[in-house]
Amino acid sequence: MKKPANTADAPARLRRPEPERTEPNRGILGVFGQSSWGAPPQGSHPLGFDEDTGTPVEPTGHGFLDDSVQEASELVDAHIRQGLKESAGADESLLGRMAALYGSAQANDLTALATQFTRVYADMATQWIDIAGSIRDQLGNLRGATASAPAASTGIASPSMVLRASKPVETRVDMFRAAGSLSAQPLTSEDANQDLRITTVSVENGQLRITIPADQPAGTYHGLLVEKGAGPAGTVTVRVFETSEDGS
Amino acid sequence: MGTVPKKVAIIGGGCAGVAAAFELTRPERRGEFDVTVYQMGWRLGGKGASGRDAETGRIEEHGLHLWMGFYENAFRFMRDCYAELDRPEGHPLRDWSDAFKPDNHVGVTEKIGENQWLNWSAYFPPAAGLPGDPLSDRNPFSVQGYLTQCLRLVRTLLLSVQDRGHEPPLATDDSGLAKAVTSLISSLLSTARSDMTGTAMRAARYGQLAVGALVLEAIGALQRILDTLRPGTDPQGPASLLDRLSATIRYQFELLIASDDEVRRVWEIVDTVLAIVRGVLREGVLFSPQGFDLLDKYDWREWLLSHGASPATIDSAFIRGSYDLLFAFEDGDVARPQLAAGQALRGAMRMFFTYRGALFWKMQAGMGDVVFAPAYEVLEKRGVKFEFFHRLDHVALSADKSHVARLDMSVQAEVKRGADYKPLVPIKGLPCWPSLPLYDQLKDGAKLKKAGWNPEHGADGDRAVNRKKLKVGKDFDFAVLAVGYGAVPDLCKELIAVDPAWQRMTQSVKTVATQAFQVWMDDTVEDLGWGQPPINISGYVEPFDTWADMRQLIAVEDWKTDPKAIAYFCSVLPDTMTGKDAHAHVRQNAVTFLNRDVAHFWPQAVDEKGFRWDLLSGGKGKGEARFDSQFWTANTSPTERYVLSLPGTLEHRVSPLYNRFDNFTIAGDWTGCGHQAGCVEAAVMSGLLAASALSGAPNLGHIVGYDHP
Ligand SMILES: Cc1cc2nc3c(=O)[nH]c(=O)nc-3n(C[C@H](O)[C@H](O)[C@H](O)COP(=O)(O)OP(=O)(O)OC[C@H]3O[C@@H](n4cnc5c(N)ncnc54)[C@H](O)[C@@H]3O)c2cc1C
Repeated sequence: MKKPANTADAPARLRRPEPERTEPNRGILGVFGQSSWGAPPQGSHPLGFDEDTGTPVEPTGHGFLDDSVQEASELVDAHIRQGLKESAGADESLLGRMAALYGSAQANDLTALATQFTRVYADMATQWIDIAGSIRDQLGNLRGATASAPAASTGIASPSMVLRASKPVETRVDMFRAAGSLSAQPLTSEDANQDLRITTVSVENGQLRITIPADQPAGTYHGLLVEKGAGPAGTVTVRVFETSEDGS
Repeated sequence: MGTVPKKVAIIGGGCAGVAAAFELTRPERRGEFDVTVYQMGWRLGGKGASGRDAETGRIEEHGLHLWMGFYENAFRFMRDCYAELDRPEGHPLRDWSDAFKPDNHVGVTEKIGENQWLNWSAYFPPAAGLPGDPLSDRNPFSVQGYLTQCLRLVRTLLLSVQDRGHEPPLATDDSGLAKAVTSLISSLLSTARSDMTGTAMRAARYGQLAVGALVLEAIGALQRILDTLRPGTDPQGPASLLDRLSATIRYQFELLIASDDEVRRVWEIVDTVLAIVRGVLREGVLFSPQGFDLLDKYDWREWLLSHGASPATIDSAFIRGSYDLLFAFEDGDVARPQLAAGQALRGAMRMFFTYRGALFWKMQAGMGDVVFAPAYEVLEKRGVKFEFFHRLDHVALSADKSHVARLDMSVQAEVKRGADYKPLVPIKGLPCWPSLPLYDQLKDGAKLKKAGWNPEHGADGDRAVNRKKLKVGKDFDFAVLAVGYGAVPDLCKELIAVDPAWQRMTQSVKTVATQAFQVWMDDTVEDLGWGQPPINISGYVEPFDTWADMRQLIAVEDWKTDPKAIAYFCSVLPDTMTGKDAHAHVRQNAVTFLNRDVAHFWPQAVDEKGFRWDLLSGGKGKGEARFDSQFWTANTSPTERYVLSLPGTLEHRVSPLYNRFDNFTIAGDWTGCGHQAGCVEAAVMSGLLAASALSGAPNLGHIVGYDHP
């Protein structure tokens, strides 16, 4: 703090210290929070809901969603890895790097790194939200203009199929768009009460392989074909019929 | 320590000024600052002031005040204050937890037709911890975290619809298409139910995953329907199929909404949340150095609309309620709702996703009794001086314009024999502020009492029995201006003249007048037909959009016969009604409201002639005249006016940290304090910043939520 000047025409006077800054830090720290920096004070705990007291989260065993989430998670992970590679070429974790940088490196480096990272993340996320939006428009935009239609599914090459089944089945593949490097999700029954899924589905060397277990209940089953790094690209539908009594 | 304490003059003893005084005189600072609070009139509190009626001990508030569970700094202040006060066992408000009680019910009313309204009461589950607890993360607020929370909210909401057994109604025609659409909707709704631990955990890492899952499920569902429909039935191909599909969906959804308010409300919130998530991502908030400030140029509703929320949604109770909460109507004109989107979003995120304990906390006595009396007692014990009846008239700069050289004051009244004014009165053992000055202590007290002199209001406030010119170096070293914003332009003409930042601020920040009334009744609200838990409800019709059930205060008031109900109502007051007849206007508004509108809450309180005036406790005479015994207020003086968060203005607020005048800082909910909304938390944050500006402490990182995106 500056010492007060003491002259004849300016009586002793104190001055404020220069502030370290005059604005909140809303940027990078805001994006990531600061959880990993500094020791937490005694008796402290995190902000927000406990898993127990807040919105209850119970496993319901809906595998389809689990898989979807897994898929989505991998997708985002892949993007982040890519973003990291491009931005830094290092394989350390981002947060670790940031923690190391924080305090020592130029704020600009930090900003550049984080911006690159978040841009990738945001692009990704926006993609999801846009899809969500088009569905939402279908449903809810009561007073809005006619919602845009999802991509039509005609005329796009679908993977060839290898099917094994000991009972009569019908299959179809609908692609929303052309896609390479597909993976298939397990097929879930249309009947919400029927949770025995068909898990023996995969895409190998561009071939869709489906095996229908002998005891699979009759019904219609659906699953998504997901393009690595880009999201859902099509659906697989399998109708499993009852074996007729005479065995035909 | 041997050093001479630095003299600080704090002008204005509202939340901001008092918080600054509290911070500057913390025992850890070992007397570094010698603080004097100059306060016009007889009490601390400002927009949060309350008083006790001499006869009934009833509480009379400036307006309805609720504390929110995210007020980390304000609660920390209160908790420290009560701890230091160390009231004896048996004291009516011994601990901060006696003074504030959690309130988990929040209501909004919604318009469902011409003159038709519905009440919606929502229960918010208690969240971990208590406001003001230490945080393990230095800054736990992140856009990413909020997005995750948004999506969890969507899931929870959808789940709640399902759990209440609201299945979509059966289609009127039995065509495959209608059935398919019904199943799509139920599938979308059940998506939420099928979410699970795995999702939540991963979602905690990456905010968008939950919606990703939702999307995948939705696409699957849509695709299933297409598959079911396609075989041979539609000769016109997929395009027309989709047209028909969307028409049917809309029809089905309208059916669903028309037949089920719950589903509609849920839908409106889901729609809002999806618009938020979308907007935040599209506008690049995630990686903007400005955080949510980036959006402050837009109005909240317009912004939501531009990111796909439906017109019905932005007119929903939830959204209208956010405007009511912040009195966000320019010039008090309810036809002109205006609220900066970034701050609205920051406020909503903090309110819903970072509360601790409860969403709302209700004070168990008047705000003056709960907040300002304890603060006064602690500060006085620490040696802070209070100069009541001191009104600042002018802030004078030095010749070189570098600092504040003089503070010109009027003394509105003097205390007999030069003694200190003792401002508190005990009511049922609780130290309280009276509703009017304690005239007995004042020179000419009898005369002033007879005239009902009120130094907070109009011409009464202009009374000056003495003038003081406080000089820098002699009477103060530092000055903290902590008056309400409305008074600033007039007091700070010299500062505005020389500094562009002050010019920009005073050209853009605006305020609004408010009105409030309170009634005490001899019947419970349940007897009058209210069938839900005690509530704070907003979003209702003007002139009073907000009602709070304040029955908890009955116990601390001092009636001969206790009333059975206490109700507070509050709203903006249009600028067309703020003239000298304002008080009469508010009375008329209250009477009209009771006659015409209150039946929606209390059907039994109204008969064919209008409101049953005989219900009012302590009323004299008959009919409407009995209302005169109740309490109402028009908050129209400049410093009383509520500070608006208008789009395009928040960036112009000057921060307490701004160091243009080197012995001077500001505090108040109108400053650039990080949370730019008219609320107790913002005021307290500004007080902390002012203390930091003068002393470097507290460290900015310790002001919770200052470094918020
Ligand atoms: C009707 C109403 C309801 C509200 N409800 C809530 C709520 O539920 N929750 C919430 O968090 N917030 C609420 N608020 C907002 C909250 O009250 C304010 O944000 C907060 O009190 C502002 O504190 P402050 O210290 O910045 O200013 P003020 O409270 O205005 O304090 C300024 C002080 O300066 C004094 N003063 C002014 N001029 C002079 C002068 N010339 N000389 C000397 N002293 C002077 C005043 O008397 C006052 O004591 C509400 C506000 C209103 C108007």
